[in-house]
Amino acid sequence: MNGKAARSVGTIFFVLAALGVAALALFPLLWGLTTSLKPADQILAYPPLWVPNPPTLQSFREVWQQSNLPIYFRNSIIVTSASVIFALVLSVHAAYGLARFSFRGKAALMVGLLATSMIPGVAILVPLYNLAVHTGLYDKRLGMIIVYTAWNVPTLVWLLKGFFESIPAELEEAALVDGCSRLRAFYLIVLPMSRPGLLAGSIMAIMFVWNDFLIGFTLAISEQRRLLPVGLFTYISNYGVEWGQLMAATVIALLPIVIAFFLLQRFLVQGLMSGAVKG
Amino acid sequence: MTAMSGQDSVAAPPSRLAAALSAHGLAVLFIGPAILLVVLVSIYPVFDAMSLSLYATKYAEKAGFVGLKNYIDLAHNPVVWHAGVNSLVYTIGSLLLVLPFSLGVALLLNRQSKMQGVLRTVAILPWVVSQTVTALLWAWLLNADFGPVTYGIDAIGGVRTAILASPTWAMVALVGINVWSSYPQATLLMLAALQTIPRDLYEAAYIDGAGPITSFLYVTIPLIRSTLLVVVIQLTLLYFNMVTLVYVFTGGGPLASTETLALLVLKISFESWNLGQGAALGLIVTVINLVFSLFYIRTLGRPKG
Amino acid sequence: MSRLIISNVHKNFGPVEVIRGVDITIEDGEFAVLVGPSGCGKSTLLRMIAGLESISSGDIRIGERRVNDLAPKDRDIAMVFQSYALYPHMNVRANMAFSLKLKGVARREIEQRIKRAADVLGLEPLLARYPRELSGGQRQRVAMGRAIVRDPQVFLFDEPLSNLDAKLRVAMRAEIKMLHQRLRTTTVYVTHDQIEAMTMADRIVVMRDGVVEQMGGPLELYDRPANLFVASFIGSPSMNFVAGRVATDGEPRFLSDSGLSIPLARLPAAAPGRKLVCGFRPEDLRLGEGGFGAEVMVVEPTGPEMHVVVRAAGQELTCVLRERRNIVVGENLPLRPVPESIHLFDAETGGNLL
Repeated sequence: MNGKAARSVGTIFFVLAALGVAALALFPLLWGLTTSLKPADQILAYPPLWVPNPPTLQSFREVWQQSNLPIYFRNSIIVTSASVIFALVLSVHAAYGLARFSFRGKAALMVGLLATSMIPGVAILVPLYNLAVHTGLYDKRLGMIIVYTAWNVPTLVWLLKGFFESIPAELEEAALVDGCSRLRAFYLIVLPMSRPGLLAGSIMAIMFVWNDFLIGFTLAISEQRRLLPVGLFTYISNYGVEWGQLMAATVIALLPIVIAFFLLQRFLVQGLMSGAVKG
Repeated sequence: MTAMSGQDSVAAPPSRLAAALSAHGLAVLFIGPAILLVVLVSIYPVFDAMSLSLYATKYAEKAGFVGLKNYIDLAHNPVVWHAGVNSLVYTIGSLLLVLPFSLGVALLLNRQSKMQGVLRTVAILPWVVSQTVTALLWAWLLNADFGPVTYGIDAIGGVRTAILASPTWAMVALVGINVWSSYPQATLLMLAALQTIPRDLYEAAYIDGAGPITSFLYVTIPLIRSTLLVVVIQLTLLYFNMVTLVYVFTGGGPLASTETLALLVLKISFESWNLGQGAALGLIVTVINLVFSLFYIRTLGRPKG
Repeated sequence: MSRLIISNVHKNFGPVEVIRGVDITIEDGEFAVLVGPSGCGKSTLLRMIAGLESISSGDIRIGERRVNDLAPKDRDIAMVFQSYALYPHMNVRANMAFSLKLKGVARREIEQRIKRAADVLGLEPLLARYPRELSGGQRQRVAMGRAIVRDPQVFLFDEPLSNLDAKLRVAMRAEIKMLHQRLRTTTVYVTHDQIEAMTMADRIVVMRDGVVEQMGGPLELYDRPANLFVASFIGSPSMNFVAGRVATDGEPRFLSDSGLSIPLARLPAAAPGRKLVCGFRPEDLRLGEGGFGAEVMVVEPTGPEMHVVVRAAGQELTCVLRERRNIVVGENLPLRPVPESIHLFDAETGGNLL
């Protein structure tokens, strides 16, 4: 086979494979989307109808107006933003301390942190439930916020420590000479320079909290405190499934995280390289 | 800063002491809160679970010390062993599928092309989708009456099956959607490793007479080996501990055919409300994790090459 | 008055003493260069002046103030770093304004000062750019701009030219020197490059192993090195050294262990009987009778002069010839060091005996 022919065969293969992967990745999402846009009578059809005709927002209206979805949505927004902000604030300082100060037992502390991020979440749900009940934080958003904050800290510290260490000490020294205190040099020079790290950490943490099911499931019971993933789950268990409404709810749950993903995806790879979050 | 300079004004060479104190104070102030929270929310519960696992419980309250009874009960319970086997099947099955697939996707994404950016975004999209949503979407896709996948099988094979009603097929489907949900992070890690391989090496191999397959086997694979190992270990932990996807997709059914150890922890604790036994099983799962993790830290700590 | 006084300064890193009692006084407006091989403590000393390293014992004074316990920001200094340390998230203007803003200087004043500095350094067209958009030389210039807007009592330079290519380094060398002549600010400049030291300094401080080996003007150090180390460190190509003793009979001569006989202009009192090292610079090794014969090993014409590596009595010597003369490898040349320019060092203490 000559080179040119081989190359064009290669290209065809590449295009086909790329289309295949794209289809596999997108198909389930598109199916959910079309379902959510179908009139009720087209949802339960066999063979299935691929395109809603005409598309309608009926399902979205119903699920938003007649169910508690807005409450779940609001809870998820509050819990996610609060815990991600708290986790960032705590981790940024801890990571800087670990990156720039030397003291005995630092290496052990770092390994210890890594080890805690490897404790499987499901294994400590029971004691966390107990702790929440006994401290009065059960069925409170604050309880969930605290746990999510803590669970994000180890990964964020590892990620950010790497970032801070990659910033040359000379820059901080220049800031000290220029008139900064140590603290100010950190806030004015080191933090702004670590933006990619902060963004990578944020998107990782946001994805984790927004998508997590277990903590919302064990630490809250009432509708008023329910988070989105738990809310979606209770749709299928509580009522007979209204697939149109369920898919509309799913689309609503996906929307914020997909937007965040599109905005911040280029920082994600770095985040992932630093190790997985608790699963 | 002002908050800290207060504590130093007494000692003899005041300034150097002040510097030492404030550097030390700053470190404690910076690191302390994060550590405290992690200890409280991640480490203390492990010890609490240890204590709890030695008690009979009634809801959230301890109802009498029972020693190792919870552990002994678990060891004698065939359901637990069955779940262990399921965990093994689920973890290994998923790994066997996800590794070649994610590597293939990584190779696709590593190829220079105009579509590269778009393709990458699309290919890693499933990563963003939560386990809950993944399970719900696929439950609807596989729906026995109206699902398009059911229809596809019907159209091609002429059989209309209720996939989630069959113990074997339910596990197959579960593994499949797990692969869909988790391949992107493996792909991203592999892609990052692929991108560190210098082009020169491929050109040198090409001049030496290597075709695409030879250079894949003798250049690519050896150079990303350590990353592959990291991926395997990360995914092993992820799959072994996975609860949400299974719980929402099949709930462990049908006939406990997809009930894994991790899922069993959740069910014993919060469906049967046997917190003591749930804590005990949780600890067993943790110990299995620990063994994996030690291996993980070892491999990561070892120099590459 | 911003005289910089360093008195009996020590620095320990744990059990290791890296600065071992240094006394230097740098006069107001003087350009002092700290030079020495890597690890000699010159950068540590500079960082101690800046306040980036603590002082284990001793005093540093800037002007009338003892600055030992002052934070860097309170010492009224400006520093140019080896890597330039420009803040990557700020443009040139913001980089230059940063310290003034922190000091609370009024906006108008900041603008004026930046403009003045930009004029001096030709930075006007670069003010809106970010560091990543600048070439090495431009970054270097911005780093200097950032230092001069502050109008500090002392400038500190930490190997500022070592990241530039050879040609640019020569240009920037001249530029820094002109800047100093214009501003007349007390300056401490650290380098490992003795040519940089020679060309820029009013006064050179040669350091080794945490102590000052010699201080003085460039030519003073070149012509009258206090010891073997300074003699070998200053000058390029470096001084030739031959071990031996002085002859005690008749004409003052140096007899090397290898058998070379070198005529001297005078005999130091302490010389007879001791083991000595005789040193002479390559340009002082001239063609002429009365010395010794040497075989030509390598010839390196540089244009204005010719560097010739020769071997005499088994020892390699370098010789710089100004006259154009056809020299071929293998040829035997008659050579003779200029007697008045010869140094004799004590082989044990390294001290210059002449």
